[in-house]
Amino acid sequence: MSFEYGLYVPGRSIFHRIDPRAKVIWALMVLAFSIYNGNYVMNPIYGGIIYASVLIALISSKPTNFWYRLFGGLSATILFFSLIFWPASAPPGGEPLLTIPVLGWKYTDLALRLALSKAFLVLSPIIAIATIFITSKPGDLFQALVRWKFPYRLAYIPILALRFLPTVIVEIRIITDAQRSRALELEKGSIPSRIRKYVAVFVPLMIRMMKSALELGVALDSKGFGAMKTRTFSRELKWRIYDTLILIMFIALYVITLIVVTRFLAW
Amino acid sequence: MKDHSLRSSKSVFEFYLWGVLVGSIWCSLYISWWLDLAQGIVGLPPLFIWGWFAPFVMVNNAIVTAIVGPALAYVLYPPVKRWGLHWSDRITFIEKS
Repeated sequence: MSFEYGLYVPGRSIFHRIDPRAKVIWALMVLAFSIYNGNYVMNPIYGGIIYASVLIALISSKPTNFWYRLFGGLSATILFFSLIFWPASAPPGGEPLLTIPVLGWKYTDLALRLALSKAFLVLSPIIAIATIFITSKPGDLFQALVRWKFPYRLAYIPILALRFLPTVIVEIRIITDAQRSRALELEKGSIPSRIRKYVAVFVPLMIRMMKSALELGVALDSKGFGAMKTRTFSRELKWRIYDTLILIMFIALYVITLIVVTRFLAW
Repeated sequence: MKDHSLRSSKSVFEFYLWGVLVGSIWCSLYISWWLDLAQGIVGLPPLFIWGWFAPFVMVNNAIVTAIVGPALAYVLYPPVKRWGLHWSDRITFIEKS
């Protein structure tokens, strides 16, 4: 697990090369089509197609193994909980597929449709948004927000949090190693005692982070951050025809598959 | 909670009452309420939200805050206060005349 660039994973994939604004529009599209499918169409095949498209986007970006493990675990968990809990809210009727013997719970095809569609509604937007962060530099995302007329002082806050993530991880690693060298055994003892031992890591971490926050404030002030209403960038984002084509391709994929799946497939 | 130093029994009691008990319950109810309200967008089942997620967040918050919170606050309060980073030193209330 290395986060030396924060969530960003350097690369030269298609998703790395397209404009961050196009990626944000794509993620919003995934969210909109997922909401439409999860609440109105409730077609697990269509939900699966959207899920597959975001997975392809993620895999083509070649992220680190950490992301595969994270989303693999997340997908399994969400599918499990969805299949367990959604049937309780399923509409009456439908073909019974499975009956639990002692409890007498009936698992109908409507319940399965609902559970799978809702699971994909949860998963697809999460992976799409994560793909944006994996393939975009925080500075480019910041610029995209500013271009969309977000006040730049406001847009700087989430980007700063992203920027601080690798710093915090490095700090935790250094402090943990330092405390281990002073015989702090973080892996031994009961869970409450282990949590208590982490106080020895959290206290120096908090103090160091507060110090760096103060230093950052001074650095921003000294550079005149917030003095001007508009902000310029040394490397400006450029919307190309390539970005438009990618977006059109995704819209076409989602609309055509929606029509095909709902009109020509029974499920 | 008026005294955040955790150096008196009243301060510790108030921390456990508001920070651990009320804070954990409020946090879990607030998140679950939002998840339930935005169910069409988020897609989590109501039974999962109220039957699993809310108690999980409540217990998780209460345990961690109860164990780590007092120790952290006890150690961090003096430097934070000294640097002027405590919220009461950063915010000035406008008094009504």
